[in-house]
Amino acid sequence: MQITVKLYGSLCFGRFHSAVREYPDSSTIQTIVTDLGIPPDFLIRLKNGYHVPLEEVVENGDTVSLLPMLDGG
Amino acid sequence: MRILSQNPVTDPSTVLYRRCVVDLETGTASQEDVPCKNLEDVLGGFGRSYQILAERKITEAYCPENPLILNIGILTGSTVMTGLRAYFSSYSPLKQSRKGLPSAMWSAGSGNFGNKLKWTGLDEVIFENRSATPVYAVFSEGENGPQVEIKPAAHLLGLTGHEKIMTLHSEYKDAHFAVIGPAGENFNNVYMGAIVLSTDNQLKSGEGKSRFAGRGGMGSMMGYKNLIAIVARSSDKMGKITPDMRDVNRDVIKNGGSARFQPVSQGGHGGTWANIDVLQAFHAVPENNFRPKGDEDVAGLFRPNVEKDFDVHSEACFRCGIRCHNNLYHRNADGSRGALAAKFDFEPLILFGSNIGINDSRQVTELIHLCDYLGMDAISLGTTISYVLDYNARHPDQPLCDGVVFGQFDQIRELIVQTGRGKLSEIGRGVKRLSEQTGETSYAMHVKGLELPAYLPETNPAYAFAIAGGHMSMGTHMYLAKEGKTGLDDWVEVITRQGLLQVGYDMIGLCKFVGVGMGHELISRAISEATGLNVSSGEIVAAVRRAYLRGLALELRQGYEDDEYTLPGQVFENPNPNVTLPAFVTREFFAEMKLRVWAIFKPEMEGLLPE
Repeated sequence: MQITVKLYGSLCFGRFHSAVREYPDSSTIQTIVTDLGIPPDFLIRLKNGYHVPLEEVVENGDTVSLLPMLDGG
Repeated sequence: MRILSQNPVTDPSTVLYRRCVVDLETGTASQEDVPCKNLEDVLGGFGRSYQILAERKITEAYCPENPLILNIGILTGSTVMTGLRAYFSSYSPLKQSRKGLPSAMWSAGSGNFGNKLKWTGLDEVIFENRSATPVYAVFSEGENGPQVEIKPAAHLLGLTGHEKIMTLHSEYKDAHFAVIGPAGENFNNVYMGAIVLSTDNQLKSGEGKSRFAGRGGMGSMMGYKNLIAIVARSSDKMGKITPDMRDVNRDVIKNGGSARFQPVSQGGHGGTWANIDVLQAFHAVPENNFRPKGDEDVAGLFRPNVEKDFDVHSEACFRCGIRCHNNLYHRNADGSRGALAAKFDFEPLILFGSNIGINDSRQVTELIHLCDYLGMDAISLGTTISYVLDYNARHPDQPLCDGVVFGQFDQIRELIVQTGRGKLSEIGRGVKRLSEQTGETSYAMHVKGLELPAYLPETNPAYAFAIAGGHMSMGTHMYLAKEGKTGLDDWVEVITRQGLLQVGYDMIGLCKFVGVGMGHELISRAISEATGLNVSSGEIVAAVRRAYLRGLALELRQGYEDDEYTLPGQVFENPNPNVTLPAFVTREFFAEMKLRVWAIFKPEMEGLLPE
């Protein structure tokens, strides 16, 4: 199935900003994070604009956004 | 600090800290060892200073009876990484209840000043009264204990904070410094004066790489007291690092919390600057006075775009491996690194950038640098200026401050200069007072009289319960963006359990960028290794909670009423459709949230203040 993956901030470096990628059925956010070699902690995960857990299953046509979880000021 | 037993919880009086009281009116000083009353005293910082402030009934900030308290945390000057913090506490000239009473405030800063103070043998200095003439105080280590001198400071007047530091450095080579800029000197017209702290990097390079205790006008308090600078002289006494402490420091570096702030080249996210990318994904980066436009104008401030104009270099505080500073340097004609332009942190970057309609990084760096040199709090200044620009956009026929509007770099630059030099009290006294003068308060971005940091109020209803600045004393400013939570239960829980513990770092002497909660075993391990004291994580959390609630109780004692625990009216009256995060902060939500938070807090606040 095809998933649009968007990366933000430092997660783009050496990867991409936005790409349509192929994943097997029943893939989860974790599948995508692992595939991209991104450490799973301290990560904001959105599916179609909504916050979701790593275990969230994705479906064909979904857009997954991954953002670094920061803080401070 | 003298530690006579290992258990500060059951017997806090066996821990004694060294206090110096300086009477600026007479130029005399006295010292004593003070036994701790409770664990908050032992941990230090505002946990201790607020207990002193609570013993005073202060009705106006600028009065001789209002003390300025300088202290450190239990881990300041230790071998724990980031243990550098110095704290300044007083009743604030800026933060004031509607009844006109000043609120207690503290502000924290790094640099090497806190370490040096500790190494003189002092844990706390209380500056009483005010000097008739400008002076600076020198604290030195002596054979028989800490020495104190009060010296004339007329030669420092008018200099920027950086210039004062370098002038003093030429005389005191073994010292670090806390000074005020021109803003603090002009305390009557500038309530947002910062305290400027020297760093090793600054003293070695001669570049303006200061750190700041900015919030709440503590620099203005110094100015009122005619205390222009504080010098802490001592040899370096950083202890030998033990194997166990090496493990603690390794864990500070390796834990995911601090890793987020580390340089991209080290696998981190590149400091707080990277927040702009995250928040822009939701169109939640403040623009034009906290009113995002839903466009991509802020992209000019993204790191890859800034790197086209500047050489960006990751640097660190003294002996800190987190290296969160993003210092921007000009490039010489041959491509080599030139002079320092500014340090890019999220707050000043936004508040002197997109929030005033400027997205050119070269212009933003100049404004940041100017604010720093004049010695003002970047948050209070930036947020008050954005109000002026917003007002002028709404009232082009009767504008404020010569009609400056969003994006006018040269004119905004002049506003900063005039404010810092004490010639523009409309801005220098903060946005609450200005908006009350104009009668248009709904888009004045403050809570309880303290200007908001660069996180939208509609994304953080917990601002109402921050006791010393919106994001540094209530750790919920990124909660919505990070978790997406909009439920009442979620927000009551995060305010009353995790959010308030943010203030714990302003007790123990470490930097918040260690990135773990106060309940993390890393904190109790660090205290044990550095001091030999056995304090459990639960006991630390309980002490931090009491300290926070004492601060909240002090606010109420200083006259804050329930309707002052609110957000800028615009949040409720005119929600911004451009922000793609959930819009959940309605008046009804907010009222219910407050009821439930107070129901938890108020019973616990009983007995925390002296009778």
